[in-house]
Amino acid sequence: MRDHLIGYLLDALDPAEHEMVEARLSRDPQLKKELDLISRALKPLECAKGHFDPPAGLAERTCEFVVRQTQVMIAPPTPPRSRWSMADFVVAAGIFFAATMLFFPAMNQSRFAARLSGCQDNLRKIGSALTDYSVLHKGYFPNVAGEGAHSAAGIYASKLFEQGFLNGSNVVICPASSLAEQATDFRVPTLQELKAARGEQLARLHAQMGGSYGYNLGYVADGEYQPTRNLRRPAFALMSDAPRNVPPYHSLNHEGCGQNVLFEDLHVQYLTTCKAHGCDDDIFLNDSGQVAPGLHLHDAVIGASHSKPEMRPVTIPALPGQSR
Amino acid sequence: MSDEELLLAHRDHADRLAFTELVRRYERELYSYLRRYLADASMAEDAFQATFLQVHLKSDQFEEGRKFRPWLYTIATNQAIDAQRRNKRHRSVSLDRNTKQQGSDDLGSLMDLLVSKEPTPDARVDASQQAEWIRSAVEDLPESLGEAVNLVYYQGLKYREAADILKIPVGTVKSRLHSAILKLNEAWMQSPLNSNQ
Repeated sequence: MRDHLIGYLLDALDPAEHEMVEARLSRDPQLKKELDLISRALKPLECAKGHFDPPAGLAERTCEFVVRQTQVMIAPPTPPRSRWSMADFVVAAGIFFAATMLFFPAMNQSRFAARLSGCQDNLRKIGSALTDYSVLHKGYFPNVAGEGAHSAAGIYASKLFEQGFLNGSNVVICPASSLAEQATDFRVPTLQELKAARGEQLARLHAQMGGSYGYNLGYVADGEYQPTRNLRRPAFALMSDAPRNVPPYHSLNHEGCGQNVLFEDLHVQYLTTCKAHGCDDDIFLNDSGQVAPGLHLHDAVIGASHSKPEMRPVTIPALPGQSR
Repeated sequence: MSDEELLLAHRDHADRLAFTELVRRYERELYSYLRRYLADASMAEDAFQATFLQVHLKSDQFEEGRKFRPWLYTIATNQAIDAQRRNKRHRSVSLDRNTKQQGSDDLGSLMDLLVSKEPTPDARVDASQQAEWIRSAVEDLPESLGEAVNLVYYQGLKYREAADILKIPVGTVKSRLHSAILKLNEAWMQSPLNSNQ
């Protein structure tokens, strides 16, 4: 409702929303008080509301610029072509053959690069939504529950969609993944659908809901499972292309050559190994080599959509000369 | 004539006067938006000119029945983003650095703090100094939040129009604006210009 009150004050709501807020304000004195508070909070912004003065003659210069640029863009007429001779055909065929030899590998490479870049764009969008979510949830990212319908890494997607931070299920599908072929049928399940699902149906939803991406499984501190908190760490993996279900846990999305990783500071990097640059942390395993929550605050572990943050017994390696 | 009629007159009848009128109509408003977005007068002027070049070149893509203003802002925002990329002048300082670590999303308490006391006469801040501080605080917001403040608060666009321009869901515009106001309030509370702290 607070978002609506801000929109009401700024006249940013649709007419129907505006009417709804007005009706609620007329019968809810508490809401009216909140409106007054928000109105006062917006006051400091008002002093910077004035327009900047444009430089003198900007409109005239702009019109001249448009005319000039348009004239430059008009290409000179091409001279009429004469008929081709046999020699021209032979040369053209040679060029075509050479271009084909060069073009096909290049085309494959550019297709790979385009999909890689599309995947990175998706991760950036999800990263931005996760950041917005953390701002409104006391700095915490969507948490993966220890048990129950919400206990799978893919829950991040349902929570982001449910609260309006993301729109359009395709954003959680990497264009290079096998899921991209079924993108038209794909839909992120709602929290209500997850709650109602049982048995195999729930397992199927858990496996699909995170799309092509894996999500951070949180960590364990003092024997208790903790959700991930946004500390904007540049080497802390928050999401990535989903890992395989069996070792070695790299992603198959990009022909098995590597994976895009979204770090907590929102930069996205394509890694050909499972380790973040500059540190030894395997992004798909915790410090004891398991697909389970991290063993400490900075131990990032990305789980595929169905991965659960099950608490497993932790084996602490013995120091040299120390008996286990 | 409405903005839409002017654009159609320019597109369908090559009416140069109609185009000039359109540029004049938006000279102040759009320049202000770009100036705020880019925080640089010369980049804002270049982006302004580039925007109207695109308006001219893309006028045949303008669908009748659509509103001109949000369409213009979409083009202007894209030009501003391109200008930023070209100049590599992204600001790395963010208000995030100043945010308190403990999760504080209690807008109410911040506002209470903000409005609870009247400033004493000797602590009263010069309005232009305050305006400058606010402008720079908006520039220092994370880009996604700053865009929402500029479009909805300063340019007076509807949530839905801002969502179309930024190609994000309406709910995200709302939450970004909410977050931006929270952050600006937090920063304001820590500012030496704020006499209430």
